[in-house]
Amino acid sequence: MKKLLASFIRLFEPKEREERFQSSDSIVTEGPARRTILQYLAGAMSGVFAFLYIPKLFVKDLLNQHSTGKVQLPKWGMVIDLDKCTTCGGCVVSCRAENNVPIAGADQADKARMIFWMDILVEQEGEYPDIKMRGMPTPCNHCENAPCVKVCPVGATYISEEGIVAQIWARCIGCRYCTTACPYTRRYFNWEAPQWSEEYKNQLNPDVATRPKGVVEKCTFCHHRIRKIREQAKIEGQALTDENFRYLPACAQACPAKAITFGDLNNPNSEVSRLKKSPRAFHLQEELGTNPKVTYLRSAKWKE
Amino acid sequence: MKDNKLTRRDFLKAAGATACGLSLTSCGESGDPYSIKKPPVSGDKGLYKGYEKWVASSCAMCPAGCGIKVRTVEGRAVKIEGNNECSLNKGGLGPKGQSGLQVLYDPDRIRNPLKRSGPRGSGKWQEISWDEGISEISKVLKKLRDNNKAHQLAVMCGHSKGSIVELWRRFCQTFGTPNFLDTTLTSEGSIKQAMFSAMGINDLPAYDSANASYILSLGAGLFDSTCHGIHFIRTISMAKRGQPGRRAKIVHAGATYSLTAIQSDEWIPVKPGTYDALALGIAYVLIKEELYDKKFIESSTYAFDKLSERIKKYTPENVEATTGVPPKDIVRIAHEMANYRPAIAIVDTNSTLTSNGLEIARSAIILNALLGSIDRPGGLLIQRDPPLLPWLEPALDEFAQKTTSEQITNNVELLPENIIKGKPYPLDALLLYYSNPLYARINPGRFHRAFEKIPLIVSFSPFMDESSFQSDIILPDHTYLERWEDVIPAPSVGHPLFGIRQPVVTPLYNTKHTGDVIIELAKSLGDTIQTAFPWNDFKEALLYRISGIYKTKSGSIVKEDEEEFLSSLFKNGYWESSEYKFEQWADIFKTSSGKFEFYSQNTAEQFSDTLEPKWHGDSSQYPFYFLLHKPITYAEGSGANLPWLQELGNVLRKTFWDSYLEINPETAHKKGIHDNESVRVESSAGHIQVRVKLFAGIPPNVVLMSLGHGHTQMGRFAKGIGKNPKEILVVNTESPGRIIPLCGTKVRIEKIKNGKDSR
Repeated sequence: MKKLLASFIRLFEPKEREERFQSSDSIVTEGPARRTILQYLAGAMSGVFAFLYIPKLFVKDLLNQHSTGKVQLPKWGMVIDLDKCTTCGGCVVSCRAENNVPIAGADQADKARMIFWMDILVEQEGEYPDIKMRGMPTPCNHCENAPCVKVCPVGATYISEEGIVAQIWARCIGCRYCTTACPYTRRYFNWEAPQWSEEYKNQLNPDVATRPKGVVEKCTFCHHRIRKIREQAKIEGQALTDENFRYLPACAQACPAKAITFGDLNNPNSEVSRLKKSPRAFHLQEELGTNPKVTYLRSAKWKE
Repeated sequence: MKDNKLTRRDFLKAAGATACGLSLTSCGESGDPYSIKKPPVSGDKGLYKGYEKWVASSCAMCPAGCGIKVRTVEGRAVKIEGNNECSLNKGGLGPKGQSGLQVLYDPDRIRNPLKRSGPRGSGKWQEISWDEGISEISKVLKKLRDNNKAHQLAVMCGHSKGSIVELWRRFCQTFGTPNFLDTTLTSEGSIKQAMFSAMGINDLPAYDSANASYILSLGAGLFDSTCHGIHFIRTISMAKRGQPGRRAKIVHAGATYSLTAIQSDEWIPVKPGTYDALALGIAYVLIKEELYDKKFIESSTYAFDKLSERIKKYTPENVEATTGVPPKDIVRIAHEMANYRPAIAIVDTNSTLTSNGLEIARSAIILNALLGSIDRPGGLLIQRDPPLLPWLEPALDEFAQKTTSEQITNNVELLPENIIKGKPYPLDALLLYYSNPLYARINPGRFHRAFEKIPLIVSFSPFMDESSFQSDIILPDHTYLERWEDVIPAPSVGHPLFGIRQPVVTPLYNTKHTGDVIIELAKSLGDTIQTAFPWNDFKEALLYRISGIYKTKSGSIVKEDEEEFLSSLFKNGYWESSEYKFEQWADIFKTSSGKFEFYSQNTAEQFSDTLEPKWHGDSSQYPFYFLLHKPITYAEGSGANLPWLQELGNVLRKTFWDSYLEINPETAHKKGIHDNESVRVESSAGHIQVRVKLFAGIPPNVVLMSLGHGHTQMGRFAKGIGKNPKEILVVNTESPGRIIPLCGTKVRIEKIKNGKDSR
């Protein structure tokens, strides 16, 4: 089946485009020319396959191109080290840029209708001068036992086989049950149609669809980046290791303190699995039993 | 063949559309209002659908100069990421750096050279050609020179490093004016002066914070906003969690509970602007208990006896009276600093905002010297410069040699008074390069009045900021993603690092590189000015300088062929030499004794004994210290036109699209003020109306306001948002060392009676 797929892809590989790419400006770092075309193709195909309900095994085979033969799907997770994080907000803006998160504007912001796939939660206690405060970058926790998925009346949200809590924007009817159900408030409703000036439209990431008015949107763990890196690895015939995924999502990539780590929780040797065992590890609202896949490491004390 | 191609595209389109609804991401190419830009027509400029490339360049959103890689798709820049290889930021990039795309694609950019067609400030502009614009300026400048008034030209430059700055200096020098005004000195000046008096180095210090065991921040904004921002975030998180078995302690002494305080292990509340007394109090303990680095003090310092004499009065008890820090804390910190070496005391531009800024910077450097942390691993480093080739000294004609050397002002903040008085001489032409005095200077209304006295004002800004709006001619520069430039980052890593900035996309509008404009202007003026600028364009001048790096054949790029070297440099985006030799004291100290000087022999300014900062305003009338905060998002106002930063707002206070006055809840309660209500903030210089945010991290006698808002121009996203606290600052000319402090004003606040004030 893999071979068949490979030949199918080769069929659509445009040779003259590659030549043109190679003759292009030599001062640039070359990105994979084939990547985007393949991505369109892969996007199309995964859609088609899902439609036709292709046997699960095949889907697994397609998704699990990086593993070493054994069919075990990864389970994506994230670890955020609060001892390193300085709440600079780099992750927030990086996420916005990568995922075409719309700008609310001053008036909507006053109504608290801003959208943040990645936001900084703030905790504060005490009075001057004995004040304690903490900021935590919070993406969707991608709970294993996700309350938002349970309440969706139309099946617009589901947990993918790799553990990502995904949202099908086209299927969402905007009832906002999920935004209410999410204990982490990580789901956002589009109160208005996104507005970008003609100039800003240049910046939109073609890998991520924009969302219309009236649907709920959320973090995807930069799913499109995972897919992209797999396709590229397949083309180059290279195996993917934990290192390739470690700082893959836009938030993790941007973090100047390298406080955000991403990876496969099913892989016992991955960095996230290692960090998750830290004595400093905790989850947000553990008592709810949502079983989040985002783990925090609390900030340590000096000489601890 | 052609038919084939079309079929394939159509197939992909159809397949993509099917996938849209079902897969998480989609290729979205439908005609609805949310659609993503249409792909280029095949063959147009070598682009085609899906064409993607990454271009390495350098960030320009703050002076840190991080390496970046920009993802472009079909010729459009869609994402900026940190350059993983560049040792300055190692792939990280802060919120400002990420927002660079909105600088490029700002809908309110100036797209053509403009000439005023109505009275100043009327907003009536007429588009002109580049030749017209340049010849018009050239005419005025020629006339100035002909009338022996060359010195009446001033250039205000908002950058402190790089070849364009050098070009401006060269232009001023050959033209015959001493008035090259570096506006960065208003914030960096005190630290640079302190470095110069102690070590003879006219630069900011670098800090090896990654390897330090103990970091004392003296009011520094390590994680708030500083010109080494990303470097501090990266290295201090390394110092905390980078090496197994090692964890540094971060102590922040500061007036308010800032981002830096939150992320530190200990916050020491200090009275506003008394960091110098605290540093000297710690130094007192180190000297008294002989905990200082004796070897370094004996071999490489000068006038230690004078220091130990002077320091006698800074007993922990005396220091407590000034700073409010309990003596036992001062002694404990001194002991900890002595025991956990390497230890550093960090000052940055946030520390030195008060009238005693110079003293604060100096005391911190003295403390570092006592700890033996100068030019040692984990200490205060001296930034080594990249080996750029200097241009040849320009030949000066008789006129340029004879011209006055007296600057119109020795501090930009005092410029308006001098212009209005016409003393020492009037100003006939003002060129503004990355400087916006009508917004960014203290009490900008003064500049409004001064502008009326200047016959010609030219702005090179790509944005319609306040000063450009009041100027006569605007020659818009490219934004940083469209131009060539050399980047010498603000001192941070210590070792020589050079970043290249190159066009990521082809310039969007009819803008022009200011470097090219300077060269054309020089050519049009003829004579020695022309010969001093022998290059065809800025890039040629730049490549000449870079050849210096190539010739050293060392560092991260070593190539036999210069072409190869350049193509590697453009591909990597940076060059660095990781070699840093520590303890080169004999070489780096450029003082007259060749040693670290506790008591400077070369500078006129010596220690002042009045350590407490001066505050303008009577305590009974104006009871609150008015402190200013530089948030990481806008620093000093350059990011207000970027919606991403507006929507990030004040990260921990959760305020967006507006500026707030932060106030202690107790104080607010006493005055009957509630969260989000409007108050009138009044100083002796004026008043503003602003909303209030209660925050327990503010001392009862202090109110805090962030810089960056309150633009009256600067495009649709910045205009009319928030208030500019600089409008009510008093110009305090009494401080030593030519410093006009930002924080030196006391205010009173009053609740606005009749309900809510609109933003």
